[in-house]
Amino acid sequence: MSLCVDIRKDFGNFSLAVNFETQDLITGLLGASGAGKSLTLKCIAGIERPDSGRIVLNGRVLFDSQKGIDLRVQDRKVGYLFQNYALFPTMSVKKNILVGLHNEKDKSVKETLYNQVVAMLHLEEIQDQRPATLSGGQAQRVALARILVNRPDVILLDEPFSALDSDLKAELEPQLLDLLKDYGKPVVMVTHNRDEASFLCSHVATIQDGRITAFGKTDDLIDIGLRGNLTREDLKVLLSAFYKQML
Amino acid sequence: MDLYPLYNSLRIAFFSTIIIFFSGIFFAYYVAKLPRLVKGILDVVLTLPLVLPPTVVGYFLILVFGVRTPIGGFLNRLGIRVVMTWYGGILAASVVAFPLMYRTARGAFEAFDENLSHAGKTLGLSNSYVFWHIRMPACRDGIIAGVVLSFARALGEYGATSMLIGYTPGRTATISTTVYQLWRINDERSAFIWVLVNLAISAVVLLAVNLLEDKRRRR
Repeated sequence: MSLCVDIRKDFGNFSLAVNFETQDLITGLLGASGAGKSLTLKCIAGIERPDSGRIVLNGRVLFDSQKGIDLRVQDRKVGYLFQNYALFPTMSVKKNILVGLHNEKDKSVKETLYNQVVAMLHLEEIQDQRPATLSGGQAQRVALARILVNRPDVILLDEPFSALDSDLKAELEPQLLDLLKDYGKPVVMVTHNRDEASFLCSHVATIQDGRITAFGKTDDLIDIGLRGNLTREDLKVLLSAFYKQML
Repeated sequence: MDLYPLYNSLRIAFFSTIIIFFSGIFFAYYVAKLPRLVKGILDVVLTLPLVLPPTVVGYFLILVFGVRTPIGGFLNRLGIRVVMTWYGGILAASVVAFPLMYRTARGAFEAFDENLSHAGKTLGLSNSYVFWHIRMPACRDGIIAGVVLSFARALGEYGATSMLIGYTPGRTATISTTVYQLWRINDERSAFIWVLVNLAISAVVLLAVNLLEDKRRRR
């Protein structure tokens, strides 16, 4: 199980040059907004096309500019949890999840997977609701269910908790962690929140202005303030955490 | 009373609405993806029939499809003549009403959250499934409004229609051209009946639009 990313993309006033390899369960991309975190995820998923580079998932080449390989989004087997969860507004919760099983022709497999995920994420009672009527936490669970039944080779999470309030977040974080551990495939998670990264991620890459400034085990990086790569933003976060503890 | 104008107007409006539905959605979807300059130019061309006087549109149609022109001549050899035939009215109505569908559909597509489409594709759904089962239902209200407006416009088309297919009772007469002809020959009573028919149809159409908007607002 590994994901190897080495991509470059130039926008004129902003350029992305990201290079990391992960074998571990959950890798965090940590950085301020506009640093290129989400863009990196979109490149892995095939939503954005890098100018050059290579993306290899478990030995499967998703993108290779030199060999002219650029798999369609549909063929990459990448699960993507969008920041706003991107649930299909005209479909019920049940239909939203079944869409993730659209290409599964075996009816009994379909049913088993659906029932499994519904039980696992406690969605029995909201099956017939429309996404607009769901709370943030429920919407997140439905979006996760839709991804899990699709059985992707890697799961990408784009700011999974940004749409939730902090109480709910504290409750959902351990659940998500257990879920992703059980799933056992690589996960790349984008966040601007250091606590989130330190709680969920085994490895963290910090991104700044489209470049990776540090990459390593979460414990090492967080503890020593990112090996001297402290930015003003980092200081702010550290200070606010410090004040919180004082109070 | 000869009901031919009602029948003819309805079938012209019906067929042109079908043409406008597909062409309007096609252009609305693909023009939005074009580079800026091409998009700007195409947008002007495609919206022009909305602001030009319909008679001018009719004039252009005759310039392009007249029997002595290359295109008109070619069609004529295939047995298709759009000048002075009832189905020429479909062409006139389609061109005049097209911008209503195009612009409404484009507005709906632009308000669509692209992440929904991306999400569908990461789940392995084909592009056409994403388009017909995710994009179109999400844009449904806008699309329906566009269809209703184009139908109403096509039904009431006068200028381009009278230029291209004229007025022949029982052959090319539509409600709007009939009203004019009846008034011209001083048959005010018959003209008034057709005015009432037209009013009734328009009222129903506008009512439908309003109901639709109410429904959207309540959601």
